[in-house]
Amino acid sequence: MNVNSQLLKGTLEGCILKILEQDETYGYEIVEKLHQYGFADISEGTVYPLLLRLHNSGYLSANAKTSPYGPKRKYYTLTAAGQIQLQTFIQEWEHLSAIVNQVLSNKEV
Amino acid sequence: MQSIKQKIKSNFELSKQLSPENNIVFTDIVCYLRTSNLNNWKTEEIIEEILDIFLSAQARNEPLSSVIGPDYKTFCREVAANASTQPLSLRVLEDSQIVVNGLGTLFIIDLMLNYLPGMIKQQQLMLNYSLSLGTALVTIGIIVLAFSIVHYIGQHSFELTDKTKLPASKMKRFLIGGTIGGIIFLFIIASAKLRAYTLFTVPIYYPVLTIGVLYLVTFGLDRTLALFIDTSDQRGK
Repeated sequence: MNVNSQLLKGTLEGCILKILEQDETYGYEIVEKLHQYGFADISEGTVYPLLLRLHNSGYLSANAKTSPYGPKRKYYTLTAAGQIQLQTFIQEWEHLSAIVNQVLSNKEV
Repeated sequence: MQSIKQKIKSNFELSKQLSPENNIVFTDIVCYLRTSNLNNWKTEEIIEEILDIFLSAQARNEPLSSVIGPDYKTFCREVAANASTQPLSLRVLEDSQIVVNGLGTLFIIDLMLNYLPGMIKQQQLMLNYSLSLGTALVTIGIIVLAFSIVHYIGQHSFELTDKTKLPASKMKRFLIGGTIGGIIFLFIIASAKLRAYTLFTVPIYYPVLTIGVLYLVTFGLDRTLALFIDTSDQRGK
């Protein structure tokens, strides 16, 4: 796995937590929302393993409902630990983006 | 709570909605995940979720390659890696059930091939069971070979069904077949030669009781751990 995909996955996890903060939803709807925000190339193949990881880490809770095609589909919401993780992500992201922006704009420290 | 057997059956029935092309990919994924390090319950849960992803994509007329990417094996690896926080003890326990089942089956075969003919030959009730070194060796060999073959097929399911891949050369196939055949032949010879060496002789009900107790312990623990996992999932809600 290269640095770009590692960075993207870490960022996506934060974005998924933010989307789930607003509403209970499932994999495909999350992908659709990410597309609307501009993550054009993101597919369920990327999002599904991340959802498994976030759920296993205790950041998400899952509610299984029967889908129109028969199998159970998990609808995720944020847990209290997920809320804390989201706040941590936002702080880290703001700090990192501020530094990167400073570097890119050639400003002196 | 649905049992694992019910879940496997329900997933199989629902997968019949998939097109033949999508079903091939789905079957490969099922084979790969069932031989991964995930425990049975988690595996079937994930298979059900992937089935929903596939059926939804099919309803939207989207190719699976655009939904989970063109590299299905990488997708499976990612799924298995991110879902594998369940206790390893459960996987070990599930494998031990297969071993106990295998031991039970091979014990019955040994009874039919050696114990019963001996009793008929001597025309008297034999109350003792003797385990020969040959039988023990063959039993271990068959279980290890069966595990290895199932694991190999599962972990190479994508390559084995890939029609764009050239088939293995005649020499390679000959070497693989020859090696497997050689191992089986060696086991048969070793079994026949070592049948004279008796490891132990015990009353016949000893092995029956041992296998029965092992069966009850492994399956009892499995149900306890399955409940533990279910409770852990509920805790996340």
